[in-house]
Formats: sequence, C-alpha cells, structure tokens
Amino acid sequence: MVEHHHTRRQILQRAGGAAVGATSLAALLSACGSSDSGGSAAAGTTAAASGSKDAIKVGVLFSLSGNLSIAETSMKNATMLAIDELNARGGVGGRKLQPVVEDYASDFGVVVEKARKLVEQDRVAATIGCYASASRKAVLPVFEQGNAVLLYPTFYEGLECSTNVIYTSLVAAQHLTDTTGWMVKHAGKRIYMVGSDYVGPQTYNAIVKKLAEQQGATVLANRFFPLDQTEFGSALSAIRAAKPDLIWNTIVGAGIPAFLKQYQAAGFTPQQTPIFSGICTEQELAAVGGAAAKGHYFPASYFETIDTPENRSFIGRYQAKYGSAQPTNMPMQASYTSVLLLAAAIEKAGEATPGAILKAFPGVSATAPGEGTVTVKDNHHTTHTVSLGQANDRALYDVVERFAPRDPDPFPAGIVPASKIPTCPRRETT
Amino acid sequence: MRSPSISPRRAATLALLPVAALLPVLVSDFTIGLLALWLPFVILAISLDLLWGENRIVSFGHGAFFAGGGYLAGLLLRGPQSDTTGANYALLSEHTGRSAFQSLLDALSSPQIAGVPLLAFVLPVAICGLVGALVGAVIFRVGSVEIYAPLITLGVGVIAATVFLKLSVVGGSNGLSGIPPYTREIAGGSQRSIYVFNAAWLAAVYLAYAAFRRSRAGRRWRAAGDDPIRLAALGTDVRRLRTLGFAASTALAGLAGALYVGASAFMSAETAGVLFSVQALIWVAVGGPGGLLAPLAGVLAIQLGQHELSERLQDTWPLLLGGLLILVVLVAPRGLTGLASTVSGRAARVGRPPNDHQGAAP
Amino acid sequence: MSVLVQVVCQGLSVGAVLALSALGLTIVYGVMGVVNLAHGELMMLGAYTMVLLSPLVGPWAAIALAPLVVGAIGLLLDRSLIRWLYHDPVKSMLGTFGLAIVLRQLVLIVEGPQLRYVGLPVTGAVSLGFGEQFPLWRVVIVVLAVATTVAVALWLMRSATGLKVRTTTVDAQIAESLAINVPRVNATAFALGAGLAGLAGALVAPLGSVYPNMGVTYLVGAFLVVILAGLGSVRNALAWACAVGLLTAAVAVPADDVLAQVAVWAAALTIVALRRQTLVASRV
Repeated sequence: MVEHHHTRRQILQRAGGAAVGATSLAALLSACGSSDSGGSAAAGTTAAASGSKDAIKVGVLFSLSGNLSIAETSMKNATMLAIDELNARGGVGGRKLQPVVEDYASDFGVVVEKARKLVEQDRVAATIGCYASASRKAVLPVFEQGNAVLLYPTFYEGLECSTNVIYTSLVAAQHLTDTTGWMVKHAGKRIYMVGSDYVGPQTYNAIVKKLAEQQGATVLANRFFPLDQTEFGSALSAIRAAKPDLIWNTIVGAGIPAFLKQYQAAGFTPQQTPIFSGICTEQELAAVGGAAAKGHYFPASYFETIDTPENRSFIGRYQAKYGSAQPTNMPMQASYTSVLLLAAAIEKAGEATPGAILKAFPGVSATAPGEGTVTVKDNHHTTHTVSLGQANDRALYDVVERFAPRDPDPFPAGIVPASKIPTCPRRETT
Repeated sequence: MRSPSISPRRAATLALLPVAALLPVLVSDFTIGLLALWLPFVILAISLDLLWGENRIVSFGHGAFFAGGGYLAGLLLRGPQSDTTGANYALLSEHTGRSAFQSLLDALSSPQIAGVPLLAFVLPVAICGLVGALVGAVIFRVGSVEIYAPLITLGVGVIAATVFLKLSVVGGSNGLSGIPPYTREIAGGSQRSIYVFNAAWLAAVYLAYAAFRRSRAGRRWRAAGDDPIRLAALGTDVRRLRTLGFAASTALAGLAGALYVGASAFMSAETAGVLFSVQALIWVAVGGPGGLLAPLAGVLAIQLGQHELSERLQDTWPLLLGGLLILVVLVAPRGLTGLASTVSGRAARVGRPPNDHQGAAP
Repeated sequence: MSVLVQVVCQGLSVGAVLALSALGLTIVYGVMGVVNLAHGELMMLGAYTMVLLSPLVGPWAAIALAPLVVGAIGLLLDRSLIRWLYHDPVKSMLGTFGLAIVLRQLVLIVEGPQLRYVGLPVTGAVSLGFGEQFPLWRVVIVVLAVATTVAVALWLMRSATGLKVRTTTVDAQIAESLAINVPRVNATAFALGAGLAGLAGALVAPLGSVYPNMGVTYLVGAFLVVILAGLGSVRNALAWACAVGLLTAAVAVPADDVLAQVAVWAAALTIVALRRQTLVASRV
C-alpha cells in the first residue's frame, strides 16, 4: 500500500494552482458576461432620452454551419445587404444599424444560448432570424421573458402568434388557399400527399387537405418521410398504384431533389401527374436541375424571375456582393424586407427600445422587392401577395398566376375549430 | 506514519467549491444563465466517463437518455392543466378536454414538493435507468464490447430520435417548449436560483462519484474494465456488473437531461441523435477519460470556446473543434487533466527529494 | 405480385449502395483495426467529385475518376493521420470523427452550403411488368456495385497483394515476420476503403443532391450493416446489406418510410440481442 508522501509544498502548490485556475475561470466568465452589457445599456438610455447618434444593435441569428445552413446562409446575407444599404443611406433617424451576427450551427441548444446572448448581454433592439420552426419554438421563451423582438422571415405553418415575434413571411392559410383552389380546378381532384415528417409539412398537408376537400377533392394518401430520406422508390411505386391527378409535396431540403429526380427517372411526367410543392424554393430546385424540375408548381410571395425594375436591382445588388452561386428566393427576400420593416417601426416609435418597437409595428409597411407593399397587422403577421410559379428548364419559376393580396390568419376559421381560436397576439409561453 | 490528510485532487476540488458558490455574486445574470445550462452537461459527461474512463465502454447513444429524461421532466414540470404543445396538433382537431395521456400526466404531477411535482425528480432517473438496463443487457451479450457498444448505442440513438420526432405529446419536431424551472416557487425561477439548484445537484453527483471511485465497488468496476476475464474467473458476473453500471450511467444521463430542461425551457428530438451524443464524448475526450475533474474541465473548455470563439471565428470554429479532437486523440489521450497533472507533476518534482512517490491512485 | 417485384428491386438497389459503403468500412477495420467515422464524408467527397468533374469530362469519366480521387485523398489521410490510430477502436472513432468535422467544414467553406446538382448519366426506366418502372440508373448502380464487389473479392482472394492484405488482417505481426510491408498494406487498404466510399458517393449523387452534411446518413446506414455483419467479413457485409435493403423496402413499400427506419433498427438490435455466439471479427 503506497503512502502519500505529499509535502506541504506540493499540496500548497496544487491547491494554489487550482485556486488560481478557478479564479481565472471566474474572471474569464465575468469578463465574458459583462463585456457588452455596460455599453449597450448606456446606448439604450441615451437613445431613449435624446435620439443620439449611437448605433442601433440588431441581432442576426441564423445557422451558418450544419444542415440548416443550406437555407439560412443566404438569408443572413440578404439581411446584411439590407443593413448595409440602409446604413449607406444614413441609417434610421441618423443612427446606423450595427449587426451582431450569431451562428447557431443547426443546434437547437445553441440557438437558446445565442438568443440569450443577443437579448440579455448584447441587448439588441431587435433580432432577425430563425428558419426551422423548432428553432423559433426554442427561442420563444427567451424573447417573451426578455421583452425582446424577433422578426421571423420564414414561411411557416401558423398556429402561433407571439406578442414578441413579428412574422414577416407567409403563414400557411395565406400561402396555400388560392393555390389549392387553382390546383383542384386545373389539375384534378385526386390528390396524393407526401411530406417530410415534421410539424411544418404535417400542418401544411392537414390544411391543404381540409381546403381541398371543401372543394370536392379527395386525398388518396398522406405519406411522410424521415428528414434524411433520399430513397423514394417505394413511395413512387405506391403513387403509381394510386393513380392520382396530382401530387401535393411538402418534402423539405435535400429530399426534394431526390424525390423530383427519382420521380422523373421512374417515368412520371408533369403533364400527367404534376407536383405542387409547399416548400420548394429556387434553392432546392437548383439541385433538381432544369430537366427534372420543369413543369412543377410552387406558390410563393417572391420569385427570382419576377421582372420588375426593383427586383432586378435587388438581385443585381445581392449578386454583386455575394456572387451568383445561389438564386434569390422567398426567405431571402423576406429577410431583406424584415430590415426595412424594422427600420420603419423604429422611425415610427421614435426610439430603438424593444418595447416601443413592438408597440409601433402594427400598421407599419415596406416595399418588398418583386412583391409590392407588405404590411404588419395587429396579429403580428404580414399581408402578402402570393403568385403561383411553374418551374422552367432553367430550374427557376415562371409566374403562372398572381393572386390577390391576402391578409394573414395564423388560426384560420374552418380549419381550426372556433373554440380554439385565441385572440392574437398572445403570450405563447408562461 | 499516516499520510497528510488532503490529497492534491481533493485540494483542487475544494478550491472550486467556494468559487462556485461565489459566482452568482461575481458574474452577470447572463453568464450565470449559461452556466446553469452547462452544469447538467457536466453530469452527462460524468455519466459517460463512468463507462468510458473506467471501463472503456463508449456510448454513442447517451443523447437519447439525456433527451428522454428531459422530455419526462419537461412534461411533469409543465404541470397539470398545461395544454400548449409545440406541435399544436390539438388546435386542428375538434377534440376538447383532456386526453388519456394528459389525465395520466395530471395524476403524476399531483404529489408536489415546493410547487414542483415529486416525480419530476424521480421519474427521469428511474425510467432512464430501467431502459438503460435493458439496452445494457443487449450490449453485453456480444463479444467485443469495445467495438459493439458504440455501434449498438448508435442504433438506440437513431431509434430514439426518430420516435421522439414523431411523438406529438412531446411536440414532435417542434420540440417541447414552455418548460418552467424547478425553482419557480422557491425562488421565482430566477437564473441564479436555477444555477444554485443545478450546481447543488452537480456537487452531489460529484461527491457520490468520487466516493464510488474510492470504494470497493468502484475498484471492482475498474477491474471489469482492465481485466474482465480475470475478474470473471474470480467469480464476478461481469455481464451483470456492466449492465448495472450502464443503467447507472443512463440514469445519470436522464438526471442531466431533467436539470437541463429546467434551465433551457426547451428540449428537441435532435438532442437524442448522434451529433449531440458525439459532442458529449468530445467533452470527455478533451477533459480526459478517467480524471475526476475531467468532465468539468472538458465541458467548460468546449462550451466556453464555442461561446466566445464561434462569433469571432464563424467559419473556422468547427475546424478548430475537429482539429482539437484530433489533437487530443493523438497527443493528449488523457485530455486536459492529463496535461495538467503532467505539468504540475513536473513543477512539483523540481523541489522534491528523489524517491518520493508521484500522485498515486485516489 | 407487383408489390413483391417492387420490394425486391427497391431492396436490391438500396442494398447495393449499402454494400459498397459497408465494404469499405469493413476492409479498413479488418486490416488495421480502425473504425472510420469519417466514412460518410469520404462518400461526400466522391459525390462532390461528380459535381465538379461531371461538367468537365462527362458523367462516366467522373464516375471512374471519383474512386481514384477519393482513394488518393484516403492515402494522404492514412499517411498523415490514420496511421496513428491503428488497432485502437475508441481512439480511431474519436480521431476519425474529428476528421469528419474538419472535412465537412472545409467543404462548406470551399464549396458553400447550397445543394448541388448532378445530372443522371442515363435517364429512362426499365419496365418490369405489372406497371412497374425501375429507373435505369438504379440498374446501373446495382450492376456496378456487384461488379466492384466481385472485383475486390477476387483481388483479395487471387492477387499477391490481396494475399498480403489477408495475412495482415489475420495478424499484423506475423505478416511482418513474413517480410510483408505492413505499412504499405495498411495504406493500400485505407485507400481502397476510401475509394469504395468515393465510388458509392459518386453513384448516389445523381439520384439526389450533394451538400456538405450528406455523409452522416450514409454513415449511419453503413453502421447498421456492420452491426449485423460484424466488422471484418466481406461476405457477411454484402449479405446483410442486401438483407437490410430488402427489409427496408418490405416495410416501406406497403407502409411508411418512417416506420421502415424504426423497424429495421429495432430488428437489428433484436437480432443482436438474440445471437447466441459472440460476434467475432471473422476474417475476409
């Protein structure tokens, strides 16, 4: 049995070393904890007091690595473009916007930490960010409890209307109602539904099902796939057997190119069985290729092909700064527009504190490139003009029909039972 | 001659305790909130270290138990009459009133301590331990545990992630949100109270772990890792021992998950998957498998690094992380604590007479 | 009957890809005891080779080049990193996982996060009767996978280098005493494993899209096969790859792909639980 011949010196050295280590750790932690809070608190108060020329901090919270970076990197770029252009024009009320960019790496634990950092430490005036509904749900408590502002620039399924979120893109009923009518009328009444096994696609499919059945259509099946599914042979066999008039598709992300390519390879044609997608922007379509994409449909509030001077200018400015590797799509345009809406709200409020900005939002408008005027309503969602696009052989969408502007309704009557429709906006978390 | 009372490791641990206690006073609410989130990670790392450091069993599936414990605790913490699920499925159907599952939850939530359901402490640990025992019984049937444990636990993680993603009662892919903290009635659920709560649990786990390592059971556990054949020849049922150890480990992981959701208010199905489980392994690898304070060192090093550096070095942070892992594996297999004892050992050796014994086993 | 035809064709098609990827994993483990968690990333590199070379030299040349390119990368990786991880499962798992993180991020930085497109080298479908159409490209995959596997098996069984590889697999020390250049055998084996992964990646790229994170799914699938087959046996890997493919299709065709994923994994774990004999890493 070994004796512990530890000299006093050794013990003291080790205890001392540990204490030094622990104290430096504490110092490090307090440094990282307090680095910015002093500065921004001061900025906040002086701004409120006298409209000083201090910068307004704006959080930019997207995934720049991991799976979700496929969609979110370009949203962050579009946000930064808008901020830079706004600053070049002099900022908001003479004050520049200072972006604080955070990457949450497609991790829903990290997104909570980053949101807390933006809200509690950096004390940003508002944050633009999030794509997947799970990330929004994860940060909801942070924004609600911190009385902060989140601008959410992604089209989503609705069934939510937080007091602290401004939803600057489409909500499901607004997105899909006119398209469902169009597709039942023009393509047929036998619908085969596919989607990724996520809440968004599931809700989209449920809403389209109700809307379609109200128009006399039949939904033959509602088939979901794991997110990483890239083999659709079995599903395509089942679709062939069911003989639908059209396919309603809410597969997301990397599954879309796989599904569309395999659909074509299996002998299907868009003339016989067109695919109407709920979640397939130009970026997903780019990986499908023109040949397999051509002829399929997608409704959106923005397409790259929309030929207005302001859209051409927007695309040109984006590509000048970020290159033309990716086409511009709806979430990018919504991210860009979010900055404009935020600027308008700050101007209306006269100050850049989250509480005032939130109060100022309802009624605020901005011009969204390629779309037109977008207005924030009392339920914290935005009006939009949806068009139905059909893919061409360059894997871009040509507008087939432009629908009338629609007000947003996150709890659409006829789909959500009347007893369950809340008054919007409301506090979603306790 | 009796050896002096305090071993160097003890000294190090004891120095940490006053620092940990003082932190709520020294640092901002935000930092305390971050620490409150990270302390349960340390418990998860300890649960992995129990298997890996001591017995060379690497699990790629502990994320599943962490998430499972978190979900269970979250459901119970939200308490009776809660009905906003992340999935909001309930909103689309005509059905009102409580479903059978919700009634069950209401019943389970009723025995309470300080406004928190008693079962929110007990159930995550118990169920994760039970399921872990079942999984362990499967794993330890195969020959080469070192290779097949990772692969089989990987499968468990994949299944768990898929199932959680589908389960609408826990919010499906939207995750379980709106989870209140354990301290909501005692101390108003402030960030500081959550930190103190989690820190107290971590201290308790650490004391238990340290005691276990020193005990006879702990020595037997280590022997099962060093030389299982010999141990079996001496009459111990190694398989049963390992299954029990695995169950204890998964129970700890469940506890970690439960404490985590009290701080994060949210749990998602992705946490059950491979990527999070490997991240947990990285904490242990960087800290050094087998070192007592290693899980704490590893978690803090990586999480602080990610927090501070990922903003400044956006593109390159993952490169650094991957490179660090490679470096640790190649150069410092005993991780940070291994490096630390090498360094302090060298420093101490300078002033000591020869023939003195270097740090013997704790 | 038509369901049966679908299941068999789908199953074989999925199994072919699984077989190629599991083959690489199993050879690498058998020869040098390395569990390569960067295997999915090697497939991803093969897919990106298709993306970048296909427009330049045409798809078929790109498919032929992909295993060579990724094999060369594998050789580099082996000499610089993997050689320090031999015969230590845990160390190799962690080290290769670090490598996987680095590879993913490098590709993300260089090529960007967006989904990339690879055109199908052959379009059209084969009619199987019962109204079933089987994409020609899937036929090509099955044919190429079988051909490659047979070629590798023959090489291992018949050639001189193959003999050296098999000897090293049995016992590296004995191999050394027989004057076999073991480091070179190791490097060859890793390059081969990488090349197989690269080929698999190049073959699946036209069926979907290419992006930095695509490797993770394939890694998980390959591990499923390996859990069932045991690491180190080529024959078992092939057989179980087909079995997994068929089982997945058997559940997915009539029912649901999500159910199929859970069912296949649950079945795998049950099979492992019920196995009487231990999973010895049998030789090639």
